[in-house]
Amino acid sequence: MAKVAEHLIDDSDLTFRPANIVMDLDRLGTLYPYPLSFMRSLIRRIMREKWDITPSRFDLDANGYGDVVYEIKTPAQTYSYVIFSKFLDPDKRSDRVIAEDWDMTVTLCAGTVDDARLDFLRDNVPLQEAGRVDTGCIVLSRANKSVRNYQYVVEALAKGQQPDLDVMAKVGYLYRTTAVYGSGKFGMADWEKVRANYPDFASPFAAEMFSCYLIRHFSLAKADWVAKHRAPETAVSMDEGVKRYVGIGNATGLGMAPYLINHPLLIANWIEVRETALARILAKPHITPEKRGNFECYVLKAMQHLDEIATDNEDQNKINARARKEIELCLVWFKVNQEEVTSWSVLTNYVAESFSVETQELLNAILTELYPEDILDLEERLNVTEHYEMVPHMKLSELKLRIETDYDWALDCDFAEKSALGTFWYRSEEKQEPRLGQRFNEPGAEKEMMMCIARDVCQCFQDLKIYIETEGDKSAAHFAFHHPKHRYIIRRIQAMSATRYGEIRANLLDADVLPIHLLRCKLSFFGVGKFDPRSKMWVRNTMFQGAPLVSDIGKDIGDHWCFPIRPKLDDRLH
Amino acid sequence: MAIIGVFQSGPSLMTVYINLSHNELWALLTRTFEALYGHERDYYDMARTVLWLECHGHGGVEQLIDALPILEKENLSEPDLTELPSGRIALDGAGHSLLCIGRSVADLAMAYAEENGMAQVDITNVSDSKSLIGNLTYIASQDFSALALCKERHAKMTVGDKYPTLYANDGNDIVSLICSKTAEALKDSLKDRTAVSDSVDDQEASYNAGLEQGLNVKSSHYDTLNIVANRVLVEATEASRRGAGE
Repeated sequence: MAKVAEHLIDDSDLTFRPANIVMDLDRLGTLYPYPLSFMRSLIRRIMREKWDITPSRFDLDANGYGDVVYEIKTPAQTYSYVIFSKFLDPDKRSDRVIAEDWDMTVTLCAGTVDDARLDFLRDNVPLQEAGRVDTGCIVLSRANKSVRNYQYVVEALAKGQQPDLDVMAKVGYLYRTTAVYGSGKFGMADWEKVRANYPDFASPFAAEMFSCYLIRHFSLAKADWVAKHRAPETAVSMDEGVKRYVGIGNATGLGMAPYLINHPLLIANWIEVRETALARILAKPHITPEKRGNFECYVLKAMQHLDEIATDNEDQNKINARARKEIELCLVWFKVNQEEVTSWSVLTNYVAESFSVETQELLNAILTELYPEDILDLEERLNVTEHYEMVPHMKLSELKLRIETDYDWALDCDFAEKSALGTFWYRSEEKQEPRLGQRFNEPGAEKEMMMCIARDVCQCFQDLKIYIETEGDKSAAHFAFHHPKHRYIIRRIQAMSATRYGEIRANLLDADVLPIHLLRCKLSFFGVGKFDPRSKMWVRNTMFQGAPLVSDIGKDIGDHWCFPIRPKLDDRLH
Repeated sequence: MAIIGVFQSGPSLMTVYINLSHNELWALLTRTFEALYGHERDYYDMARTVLWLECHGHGGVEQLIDALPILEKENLSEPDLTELPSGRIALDGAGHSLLCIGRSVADLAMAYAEENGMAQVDITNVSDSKSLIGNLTYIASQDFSALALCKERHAKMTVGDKYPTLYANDGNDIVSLICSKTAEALKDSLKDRTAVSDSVDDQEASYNAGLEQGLNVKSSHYDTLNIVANRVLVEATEASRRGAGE
């Protein structure tokens, strides 16, 4: 038996949704953040442990250019967050990975930073991929201004006014990250080291999320700083209610997609944790009046949230509008049929029969918000050590059965159809950026990346059947020895068929593949919201909108910042 | 680029190193083997073998660099195996490097050992036999004990061991991988040999140092591997930029 997760989830009495429903890519592309999303976990930890985040250096000029170092003291360690802020030629401002200059570049590193170390970091961090850092660094990232929003906010503050919330609702951030690197890239600390040595960041993407959180913090501090220096007599600081409504923007492209395909055990585990949370809630035999009331509040909040999302993408606007309408109908049905809705599964069954997949997943996300006391223990299960070892003695009849059972979705793909192979994924010579090509019209297909799981399973299955006919029911080792091209997919099949949810079910080579579903799936686990697709290949989104501020640490603030909505402010602020 | 300059025998022979994380080296090795074999072989596991060797002080990158001429050879025929009585297999490597086919050899040894309790794969017509050691932790992780007889040295690893114990070769040219369901069966193997002093501790220390401070890889090797690895990259054009959503 292949080794899978170190933490096998033991909720054996629960009824889980089946893999063919859950792992469908179209459904994964509708996931919303939920309480175990990484940003939420991180903020809970920061607030619970009362991290001390203070600037040890704040050397900015009147325009907000210069060096800033935040020192972060947690109960376990001290870290430094080093920021280099500079003037950027507007012609060079780009969200693309292939950009070479940015408004700000940052690194999160262990310990404190002295002048010599700051010099070393200043020589390398602004270069990003072209520089080299060391194993004392945990995250390397950069961000660009949302020029219009940033200038608008600074001008308003300088005049003594708070920014108009209508404007802030349209673009809910001042800066936008364009890449966040961790896990040993460019000489940084490997994940294994981070996990062992830095317990504060030993959960998935915690350090990366923290970096984004501090970019948000810096963007707010910088706006206040520049406004104050521009008009010392009139400037005001941004109201804290408005600040909480400002998140950090993010642009995510195809680079995220290969991660999901290359780490199927990790993704299957994240999905299983999420489904376990949902299954626990659906298994509740009754619903208390308090939870009914909370549910109504969360639905109303989600409706307002969806109302306030503004994107230029008409398809996304229609999806949001439909979800908003349907979740309202769901609420109406819930209230009208209170007597019949004795458990949440009655409601989810109704919604599954009546409404879109998007609304089904929105409802599921809302339900998980109702019962933190029942699901937050699952946070500890999100890490997994991935093993994809070959099981060499597995009989081929067993391997064949596993393919037929767990990869039926792949066998259903008709690769005789040209369109089923219409897309190929490759790495460009420009910063190794992942890109999509049209197989039959563009060069490079011979260098395609291993994103072709469905096709490889089918090819393996065909050769396997012939091998069994000619050689008999030998071992997987024999088959792989004579068909070395299938060895990788064999051990992948063996590992994934031992999991509850297995693979993401999609032919990623299809001419009509929508990579954006992969991106949204992963981003939802990060905790990202307000998806604003710019094409089928990249998406803008907002992180930490509504989240507590650094100045909120130590205050009694609940974990209720999901579905961020416009704050209600005192009239004197307008 | 941050590099570490080390004077070995005076300035004219300066060896320059680059400091890489495990993950960076892993990514480079993966692309290197992908460039060499495309999807025709399990390039991930080849990379894993080299990474293990490098991280544990067995000079994986050096071995890979030395093996490149063989690995680059096209039109090598596929290895062949002959089953002999009592779980013994004769494997003709057809001139391949064990960096390429080592995992398949290990697979076979385990499959036969599962069936017969013990298996011995005698390997001929291969290069880079030392890399066989890089498969022992893979075998032990599957609850088998194993003995790797390489031209350069011998190594033994039983279930529960964290690292293989290394022994000097006594001049034997045989290349074999012996695999057993039980540690007991290999108990007497190599018992007359003296283990290389501190070999287990050295491997652990090497791994931990690499994780803590990074791996120092010769810049010339790094450049050579990148030249190979970059073959997987596709030329950038205006059309290709649209393929990133532009």
